[in-house]
Amino acid sequence: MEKNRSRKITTGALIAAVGAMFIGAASAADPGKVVIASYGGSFQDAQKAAFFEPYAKATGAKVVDTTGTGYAKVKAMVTSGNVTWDVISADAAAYESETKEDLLQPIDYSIVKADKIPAELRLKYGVGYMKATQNLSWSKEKFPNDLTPAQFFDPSVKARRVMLALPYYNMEFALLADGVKPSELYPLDVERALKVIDRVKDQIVGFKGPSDVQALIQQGEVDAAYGPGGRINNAIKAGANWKFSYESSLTFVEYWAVPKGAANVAEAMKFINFAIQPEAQAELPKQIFYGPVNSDAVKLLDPALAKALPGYPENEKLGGFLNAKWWNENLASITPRWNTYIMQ
Amino acid sequence: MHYRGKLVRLDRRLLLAPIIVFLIFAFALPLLAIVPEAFGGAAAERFAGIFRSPVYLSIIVTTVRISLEATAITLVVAFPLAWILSRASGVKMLLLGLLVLIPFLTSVLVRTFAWLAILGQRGLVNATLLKLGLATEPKALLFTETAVLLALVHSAIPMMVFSLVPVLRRIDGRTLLAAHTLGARPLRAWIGIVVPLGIRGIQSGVTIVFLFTMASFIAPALLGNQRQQMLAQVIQSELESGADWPLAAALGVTLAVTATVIVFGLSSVSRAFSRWQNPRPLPAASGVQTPIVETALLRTPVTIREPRIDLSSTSRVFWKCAEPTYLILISAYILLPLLVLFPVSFSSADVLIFPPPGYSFRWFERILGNPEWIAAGLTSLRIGIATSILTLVLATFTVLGMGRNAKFRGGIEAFLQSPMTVPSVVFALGAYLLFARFRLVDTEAGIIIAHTVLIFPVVYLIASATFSSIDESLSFAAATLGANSWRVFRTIVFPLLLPGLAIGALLALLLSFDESVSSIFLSNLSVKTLPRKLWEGIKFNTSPESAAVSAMLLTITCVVIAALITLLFGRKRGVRLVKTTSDGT
Repeated sequence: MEKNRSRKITTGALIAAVGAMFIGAASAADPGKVVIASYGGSFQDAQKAAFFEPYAKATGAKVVDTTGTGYAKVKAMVTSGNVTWDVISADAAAYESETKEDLLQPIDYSIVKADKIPAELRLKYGVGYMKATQNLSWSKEKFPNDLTPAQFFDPSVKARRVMLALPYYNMEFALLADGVKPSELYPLDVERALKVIDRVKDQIVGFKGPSDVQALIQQGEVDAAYGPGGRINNAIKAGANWKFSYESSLTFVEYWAVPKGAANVAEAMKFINFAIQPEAQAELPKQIFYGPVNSDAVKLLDPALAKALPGYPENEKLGGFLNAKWWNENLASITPRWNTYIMQ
Repeated sequence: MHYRGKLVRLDRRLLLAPIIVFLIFAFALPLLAIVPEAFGGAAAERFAGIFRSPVYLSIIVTTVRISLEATAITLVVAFPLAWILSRASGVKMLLLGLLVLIPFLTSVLVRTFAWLAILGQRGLVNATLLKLGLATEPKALLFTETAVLLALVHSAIPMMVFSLVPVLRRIDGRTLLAAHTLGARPLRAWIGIVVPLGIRGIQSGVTIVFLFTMASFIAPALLGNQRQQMLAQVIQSELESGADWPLAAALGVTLAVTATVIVFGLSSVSRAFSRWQNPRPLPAASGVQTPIVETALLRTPVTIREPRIDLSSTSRVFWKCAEPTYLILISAYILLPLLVLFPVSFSSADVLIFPPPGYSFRWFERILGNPEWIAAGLTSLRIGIATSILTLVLATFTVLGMGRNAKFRGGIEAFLQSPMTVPSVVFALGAYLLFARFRLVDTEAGIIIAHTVLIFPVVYLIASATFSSIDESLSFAAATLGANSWRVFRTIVFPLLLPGLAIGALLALLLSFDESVSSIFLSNLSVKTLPRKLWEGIKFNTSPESAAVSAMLLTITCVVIAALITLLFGRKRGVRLVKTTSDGT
């Protein structure tokens, strides 16, 4: 009898404990909350330190950051009406496609104070917030005498290489390496670009996501890479004996945008406003190797650092600038071709 | 009396209603949801696109080829282990059982991840090769088909062994002895006797392993490269990027149909084998053959005795060494990916390097200090407990409902087991498509439902085995003493069923906690299970942090297995106690 009672008590306690665990799970959309979708990995960690956490601290709002931003996912969310993101980070090509398909909410410039942002980045549906580059980089152990873009595509230079999985950036890089002038890059000669990549295709370990590129460098899996400068720089900071150059690099702009039907639009605008002010902008390069676009932020930076960053005129001149308009018109037709190409 | 009996049987059949309704809504409907999605709109174009595009065709061919290779390798590698396990007893059986059980109950994600630390440029294998001077520079092992195959076979071995052992155990060892005395070499005896007698186990093992490999996307995604993408991987990334649901559904249909066709083909091959195994009456030709065989048997031992002894002694030495050598190799293969996690997770480096340059607790500190990992762990625990309770209630109802001699038993059991026969990725796809309509994607309820579907068959198997071991006369005795059916259940059946249910509950908790496929499909932002968070961690940053989480998951698995074993042994002791007291009186 005694045993029976104690068993009943333990059973009751168990049920109560389980019940308590479930109560903690309930949640709902509240006004002081903003969900931001980015790319994950060390870039997102940098955004967290420069934008998300300071914003949460300054306003008391709850910032939930997640990964997976991209044109296809935004389109699926908006068309299904199940929009779970409030702010997205969109690269120039994705931003153009999202605008074309009418997937974004206009930016409320009464809340977003963007007068220090260059006019060409203050757009109806998005605000440019940083300049980044895709850079050629290499292992110093493997190539003590540096690696040129032409060597990257030279099959006699044996190396394990990695490139990005996207069609843009890669084709521009191949053409620049093959001698096309940055000013004559567009319209892209797709045939020629693929032929250039073909030369070293059997030495390419994979066409990977940006964070994979960093992981592969740190892991020592590859000897040469073409990928985001910030991630490459982070790999070097983490101890990889690597070097990168602006030779045949490609500069592009990253935007903040708000998907149509987002639950917390007001909070989203407030966040975007916060993230483009000089202080937040000046904080980003300290976290990851990307350049601010707010003209006042550049003044807050250490001049030596400012000179090394993407977007600095001298650096930008060594490579090309991504033409998002051209990609917007051609991405749909090139993507299947590219996907076939990298799978064969 | 007659009337009352009918009522009881009617009651009993009603107990089957919950599980049937549940499986129809949570399992059959999601599968059916794929069909309109795949065949809606421009369906002809979509399928033509798949079968005309060189990319998708090559993906289908690669998927089938890798799955067949992995299945064949698994069969060859796992068969001896299953045989040895089926003959073992005592401590040997326990150890070999654990050797198979521990990886089986460890998350596929964890096991696959470990291969990164083994096959990398600075991984275990390359470090060893360089140290021994067998290579001058690291070999490219990662992002190859070999890497994918290694991981797939590693994951599949336990499934194969578990399908083979029950069948092999039934083989009478004396048949081998008989073959030996008739002059068959060990290899011949194996191929001539063990394989044909074990054909049913081989058939089910091959089917299960083939379906598992066809549906796997974790190994090719983490260890392969673009050139050998597999179907399930494309389906997953198609859903993850949210790009094209109808295309994902069409690929799901393609996967399911291809898998079914090949499984059907494989089972007809094995049916041909089993026909050969028991030839019914031999045709007239046998009359001619017998005298020849007899004379041969009479003469051979006398003429070639001397050389045979030599041969057989060397071969005996070979066979004596073969078993321990094989056991060492297979244990190393099975345990390596699990053991390597521990040193790597205590690494002081930022990346996966073997051997680690130094040791520290930093990754564990980072995980335990990170609210996101803690929240993910609690979410998984909540989902696991709910799944465990739900499966347990359903399994109890079903076992009682089935009784001992239900009508259409075979049909109903096949239906109950059907979640096991559908590639998990196809179910996850269907669940995603259907649940999205009811806003169940990215909710705990959605994952609990999916886990219950996937885990119910396992728990049911255990519960029904326990139920069939209960002596029916005890219930009859209680009934003659005036107990009604509820009282019989409460005082007799349920207490006897309890150990089996407890084991089932613990297993369900563990399987749900480790389940990666539907967790990756159905959880996202608001609900992040531990495997989902680990998946993101591995995809975005292959740091020792993921290794540390994996090591913790593995430790949890081992603790739960230890609990299971004590439960089993405790149960045996309990039974013995009852026996001795009844003997005493």
